Amino acid sequence: MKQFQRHITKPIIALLTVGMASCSQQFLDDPQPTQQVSTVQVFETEDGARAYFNGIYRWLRSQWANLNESAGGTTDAWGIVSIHLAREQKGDDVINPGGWYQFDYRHENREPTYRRVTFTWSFFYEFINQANIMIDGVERSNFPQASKTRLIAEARALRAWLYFEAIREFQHAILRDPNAPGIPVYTKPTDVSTQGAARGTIKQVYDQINADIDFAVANLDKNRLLKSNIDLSVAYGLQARIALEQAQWAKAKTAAQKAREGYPLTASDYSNGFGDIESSEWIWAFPNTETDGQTLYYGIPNSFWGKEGTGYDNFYINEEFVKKFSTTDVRNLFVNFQASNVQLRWGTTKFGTGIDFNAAVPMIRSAEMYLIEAEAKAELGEADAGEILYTLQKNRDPKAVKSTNTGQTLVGEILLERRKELYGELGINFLDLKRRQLPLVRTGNHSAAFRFTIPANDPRFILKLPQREVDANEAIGPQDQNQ
Amino acid sequence: MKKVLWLSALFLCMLSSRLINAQDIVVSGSVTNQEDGQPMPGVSIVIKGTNSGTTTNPDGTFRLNVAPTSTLVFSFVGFTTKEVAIQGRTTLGAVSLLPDARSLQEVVVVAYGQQTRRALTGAVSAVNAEQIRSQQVVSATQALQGTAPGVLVVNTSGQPGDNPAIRIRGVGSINASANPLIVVDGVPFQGNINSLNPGDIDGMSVLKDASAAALYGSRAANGVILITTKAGKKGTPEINVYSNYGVSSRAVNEYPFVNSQEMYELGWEALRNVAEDAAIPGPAQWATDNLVSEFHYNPYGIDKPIGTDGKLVSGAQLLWNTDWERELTNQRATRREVGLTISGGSDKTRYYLSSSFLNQQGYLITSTFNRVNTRLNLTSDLRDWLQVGLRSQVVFSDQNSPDQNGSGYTNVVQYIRSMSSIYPVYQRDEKGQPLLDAAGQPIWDFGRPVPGRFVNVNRNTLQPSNLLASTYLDDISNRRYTTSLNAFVEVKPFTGFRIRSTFGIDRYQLINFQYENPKYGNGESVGGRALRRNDLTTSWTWNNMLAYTRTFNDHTIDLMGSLEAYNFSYETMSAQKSGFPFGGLKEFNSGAKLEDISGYTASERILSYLGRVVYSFRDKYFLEGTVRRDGSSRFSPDNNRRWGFFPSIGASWVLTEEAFIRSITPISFLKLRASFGSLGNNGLLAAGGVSNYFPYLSLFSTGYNDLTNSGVYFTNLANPSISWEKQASFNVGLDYGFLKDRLRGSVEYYVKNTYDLLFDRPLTPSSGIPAVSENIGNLRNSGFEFSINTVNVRGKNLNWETGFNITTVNNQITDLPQGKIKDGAFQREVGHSIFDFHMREFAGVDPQDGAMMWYQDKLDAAGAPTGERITTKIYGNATDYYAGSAIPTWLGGLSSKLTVKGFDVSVLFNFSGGNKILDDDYTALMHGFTAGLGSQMHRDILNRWQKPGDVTNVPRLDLNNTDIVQRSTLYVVKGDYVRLRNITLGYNLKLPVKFIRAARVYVQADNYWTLFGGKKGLDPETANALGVPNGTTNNNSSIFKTMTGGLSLTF
Repeated sequence: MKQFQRHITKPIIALLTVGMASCSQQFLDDPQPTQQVSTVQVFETEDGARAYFNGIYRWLRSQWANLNESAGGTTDAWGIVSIHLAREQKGDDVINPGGWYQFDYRHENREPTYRRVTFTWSFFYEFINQANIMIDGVERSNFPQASKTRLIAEARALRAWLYFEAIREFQHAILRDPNAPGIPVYTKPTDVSTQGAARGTIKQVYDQINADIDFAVANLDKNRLLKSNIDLSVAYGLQARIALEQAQWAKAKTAAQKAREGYPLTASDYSNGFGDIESSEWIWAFPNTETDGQTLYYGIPNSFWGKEGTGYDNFYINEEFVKKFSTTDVRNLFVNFQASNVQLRWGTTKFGTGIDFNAAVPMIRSAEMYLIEAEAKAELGEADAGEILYTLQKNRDPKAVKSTNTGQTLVGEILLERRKELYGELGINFLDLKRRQLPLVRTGNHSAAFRFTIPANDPRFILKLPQREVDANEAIGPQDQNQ
Repeated sequence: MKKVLWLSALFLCMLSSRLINAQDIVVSGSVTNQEDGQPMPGVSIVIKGTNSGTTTNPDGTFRLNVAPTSTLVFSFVGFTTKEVAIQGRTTLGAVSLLPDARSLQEVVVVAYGQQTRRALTGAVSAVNAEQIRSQQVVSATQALQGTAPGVLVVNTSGQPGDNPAIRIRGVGSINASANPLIVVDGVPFQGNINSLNPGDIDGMSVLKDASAAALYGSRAANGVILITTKAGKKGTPEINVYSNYGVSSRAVNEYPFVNSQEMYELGWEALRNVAEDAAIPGPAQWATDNLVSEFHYNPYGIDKPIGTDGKLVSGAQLLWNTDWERELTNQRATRREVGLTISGGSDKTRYYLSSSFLNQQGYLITSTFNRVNTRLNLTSDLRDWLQVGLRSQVVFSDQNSPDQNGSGYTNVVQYIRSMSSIYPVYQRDEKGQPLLDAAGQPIWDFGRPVPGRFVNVNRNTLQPSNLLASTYLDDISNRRYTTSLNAFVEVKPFTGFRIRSTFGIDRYQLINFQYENPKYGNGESVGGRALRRNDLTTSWTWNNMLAYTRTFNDHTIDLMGSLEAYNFSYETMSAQKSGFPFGGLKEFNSGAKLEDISGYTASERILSYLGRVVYSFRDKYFLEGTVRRDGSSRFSPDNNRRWGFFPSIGASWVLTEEAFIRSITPISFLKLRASFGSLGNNGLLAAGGVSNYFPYLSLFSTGYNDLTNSGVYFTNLANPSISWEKQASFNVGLDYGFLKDRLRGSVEYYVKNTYDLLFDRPLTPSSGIPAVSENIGNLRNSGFEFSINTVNVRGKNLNWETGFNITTVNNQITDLPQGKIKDGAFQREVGHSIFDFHMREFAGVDPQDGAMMWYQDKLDAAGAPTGERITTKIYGNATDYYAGSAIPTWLGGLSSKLTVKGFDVSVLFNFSGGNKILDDDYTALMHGFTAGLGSQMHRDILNRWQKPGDVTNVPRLDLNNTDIVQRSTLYVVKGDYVRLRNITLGYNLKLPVKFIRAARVYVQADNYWTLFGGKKGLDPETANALGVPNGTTNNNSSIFKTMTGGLSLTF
């Protein structure tokens, strides 16, 4: 017996020890990510790089929260649409009697620790870094040079757009003071050793934006998988907006003309809920679909504009704005909602009457390009400025009358037309007040508390920098904070 | 490797049975305690020179077949062993045993084995079965609160079945997991700890220093909790049946709210203030006129309920007055438990079989937890040299857990704190009369706008929602199946040498099911929605150990070497569908649209080599050294990042073995011990508190598809040099016993230095990456632990014992390369704790205009603070200052037990303090109408500033000024508290029925009294959204109190 015991002891020990030790390296190497891929894999093929673009476009329109979920991810702060809707709140045309986005409506959601501020900042800068990762990855790849240039052009257009949106949230118009503090500019992907950049000037930010969008326009084509992708037409559209912001009228005019090539106006969008990504005049748009968890309840505009009781339903229209539409205008889609509670008097069915989870979100439409062209021409003193405006107007309203005005009077009419055409989409009223350095004068049936006037270039037109940025960025101190 | 695995399993299937030999005579007798004369149950009686024998019955008696010439050996833990020769007698009468100096003999479960208190060199707190059983805890680790020195237990939720957060001797990590390692029967446990039936637990040991925990080195930096389940004892089979019934409710009352009249009058005042500010003529009249249209809801039914004097007009009557707390809580939540255990054993085999059922309701509507568990533990000596054993359990639990933390609309706790009494449960018409549907039934009010309606629609608060309507119809359930199988085989090829192979596997399946009904709430717009997530967590540990013990002369040496492999895998799959036309049919087949489907597998592994040497001389001097080397799959295989080395050394000296001490009579035991060693932590966490398994790789996540085009997105910035977080731990302790151990306990001092912290270093937000994982910074936890247990009275019919323990914790950052890191309400800086609040300091309300003020540093010309402070009314200009730490600096417990004849009374208090709590829940209730007219408010708002000269901390009501809800020291309160964790009154009945060997009835109250200085309504046990106890609040549900009555019968 004892002998047997001794006999078996040795092999057991040997088996256990050798068995475990010999395969230790493999044992520990075995676990690998099952739902993630490495940088090498992404930039191994052009399909990989394209999948990365798909991911970026998808995430721009989704319930975005930053990578450690410390910013974004709430009903009013989650993706590009929430930025547009917040801007909608900050003008005169929309009334918010309570609920989501009301702090924006009150012009209060701008302190350094508030979610609007932390979200907006983190949102744009995360995607800027993604664009930089894309550019860097493509540059280091083994793709043919032509493919590289094409992919980089798309990434740079994306980056131009992101900086352009971000600077307008955190600073006044470049025309007010190009040398005022800008926002940090990064063109390389962030790594472990990345240090925070300084604010620089607004001009420096626009220099980067201009360089990127010009490169994109020079190198893009019109091939794309989905309307969510930036192609040459989208790049022109962005270039037109960017030039308009800088009062580069001639450049804006040309770019706007190029952008709308192949995207004819169609008034019928206004009768079908404004959610069809196939619409002929939509140049850039984000799709939504019920499948694959890609739709957000609050990502559908009508969750807020609708009044059928299934959404948040808290966006109303100012009666003064309603009055500006003629009865024959296809855009006159206002519904007299309540007679006596003044704030709730008017709703709109521009985005349909019910909630459609497949409703797409427009980003750039031909109509805006006509208006940019008209404004640029009016500023340049070109005679057919009014004609361009009328092209859009008569498409929307068969009884429209062509304006005979010129100069700033005509510009005023164009700015009004921009509100009428684009309300509910981009926050155009607020953006134009900033761009043109005009005061916000609330009129009509806003509640007394919020029927206020904000002087031109008032600090309330811009957000403060996030406290986290001031705390963590060595190059930005409390003295660099916005007023 | 797989082959060996099979071999081990095969061994375990071979269980032995052995016939018991016929004997000569029957001997009977009883065993009593020599000191108080009480009968002693469970005393082991072994026939000398054999392995056979029995244990005494609950009444202390025994019967045994023996040879007439044999000798019986009586032994019991804590008593001196006694030998009695039979000499042909058949009755032995009362054999009395003398209590031993207890400190010496108490056996403590330690890493990879057991030790007596005498031999221990490390810091270990042990909690026994009785202490665990005397509290009505659902989750076993809750029983450590107040009973185990140095262990902070925070019950972060009032949902039964949720586990508490545990911190041992401070908080040792910042971004890595700070949870201790839990080891059940020698195998690291990765299931849900709520699956263990506290009644099955024989004891819990908390390993607190390096010497005690070093053998779990790689994951022991936050301490280790060893749980040992009951194994059964040799002797007559014991059958125990127990049952109890209780009633539960919230332990501390909800915040006091304003009533409907106050809400309306305050609203009037706020509107008048707005009108004054906007220079509207006749502001009082304006407020009276516009009040109803601004509130939207009017419970008075008359046009202008508040007059221009700001008071309710006479004769105004409330048409409804909803108490949302009452509506959404279960005031008579019940607890029911029944269980059965069977244990016993023969010479060769010991068994423990138990089965129990528990149903505990929470205090929020629909909150409940059910658990059915069965455990079988077997140990069998197949040969003199071969032992096999099995520890197994199968557990099913079912938890319905309505949303009870965070800011979602569906959070019931937040809902109670948002909806004021002016909001009706059911729809009302313009005049306030109930609206009925076609069937004559009331209609739930979701607060939606209705075309053509102006009053009692379009609620300012949480619109559209009605949790009363949706919570009952919705499900948030967690069904859990846990199967634990833990088997070992031990071979003793020759004296002193042991080979032991242990294989433990836990399979933990969680089925999370969420259902949103198609009628009301979130699911309404999509015709109902169901989400189901199936998680399968499988973890196994395989340990192979060689041990050798040898004593020669006065020297004893213990050697142990071991190889251990650990594998963890988490497989998850979830799907979501909408369009469920038939209410109540919730399975996917009934759904129309597939909204989402996803799944992945995560895994990690650890491979370890460990060894231990223990040397002792004359049971007086002990020296212990351990080493452990671990490789973790979480770290890069390159540049030596993967492997960590964790050595430790400990020594102890039993002074009472020295002649010069032994001669001092009052001293019964004295031991000095010290240890030093290193422990590790690889528990790096990613966003949302989930584990980060591959911090060394830059990764793009899949699944970011744009329509049907597959997409990836960059989500993880690599730090290839990330490696183990390490902790150097030093402990020195003195164990003492005086007056034959009627006074005993220990005093300890500890220092734990964590270095190479796994730290999420925040990058500047404009870099697009919020943080990167690094090994930076050092942290120190240090303090004293003191415990004392006294036997105040020991007598025949009266026994009174008391225990007290207190621990101090000093948590400090000792190195931080970045200097200062601001993190929300906290700031990290050398010399401060990791949870030091840093925020605006409230400077009062200006009596002149009712505006809030904060302090601001006065700056000199160069922009540097002069040291002088001024006040400001602009929040943005104010300066942040330190405002105390969220980590308790002292904690402990007090317990006492009095036994009088058959009665016993015991109490347990726990306390902690020295910390601060930022009560954001209270802040939100002080919104001063900035959260909307009609949103619930704390009664403190009644102290608002009203006219010049008013001295108060509550500013003027101003709809347009959110200063009142800004974070400041105004909302920071002291966290000191004492809680009566448990009080029990029990009686051991003497039943005249023979087959019932023991019977006990008891009533007990858990969490019935709390002394706490914070705002009424705040529970001092708070946590953030992730359940991390960092002194913040998040509208979490809180601990409940339970009054229970029970009965236990032993056959």
